[in-house]
Amino acid sequence: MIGQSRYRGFLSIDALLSAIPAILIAMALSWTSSELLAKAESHSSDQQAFGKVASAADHIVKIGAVVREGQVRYPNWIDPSLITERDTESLREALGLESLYVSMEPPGGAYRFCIYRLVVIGKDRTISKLYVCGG
Amino acid sequence: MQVMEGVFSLAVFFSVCAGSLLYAEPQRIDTSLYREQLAIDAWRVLYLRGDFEGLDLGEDQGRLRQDLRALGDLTGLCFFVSGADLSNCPGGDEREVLVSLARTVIDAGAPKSITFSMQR
Repeated sequence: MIGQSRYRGFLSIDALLSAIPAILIAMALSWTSSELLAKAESHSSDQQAFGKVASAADHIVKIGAVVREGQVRYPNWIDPSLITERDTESLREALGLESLYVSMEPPGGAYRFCIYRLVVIGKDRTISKLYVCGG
Repeated sequence: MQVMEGVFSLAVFFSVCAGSLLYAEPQRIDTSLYREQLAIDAWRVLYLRGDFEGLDLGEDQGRLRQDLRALGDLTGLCFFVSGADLSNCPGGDEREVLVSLARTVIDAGAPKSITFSMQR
């Protein structure tokens, strides 16, 4: 009986010692996968936000703030007076962005993403940059 | 002995996990669509400026050249018009092409296919 009891004790201690590395490996796996998942989620969120900012810029350059002559629209020919805070705000809401900046001037503050589009402005069609930032 | 093996395996496993996380290249934002839009913008700007009106690629394209330079100054990029060998950067056709657009222009009264490239 005593021998059997000792044998069982060794077995359980051995099992315990084997279980520790197994548990630690499982924990490491869990940590690694959660880190990788967080990275993938962050990248996906960044990609989505960048796409939205690019879409906003494309909308402004093609429809939102272009010069119109009757029914004719001139993509990339921008009328800066059509870039209003109200339109920018409604565009931001429609796209579900936290912030959106649209101007012919570079932004003062920091934004998650900032891009520019090449446009012409004025009657002499001066080459300019249209800045679109947000995130 | 088994414990030693377990600890050794664990150490190796942890190193692999940490290494894969630390040295994994951060995924870059895909900006290919934006770059395409920017190249189309540059072409549109040249078009709106009337640079292709009465075009004759055999002659000196002073206005087109000047506008390409202005675009380059604004963006820090190079723009190259094949067929006219016009560029705002030296060694125009030897640079890395970011976007290439196939276009047709009326050259001296006849349609001509050219390539407009945005380069780094």
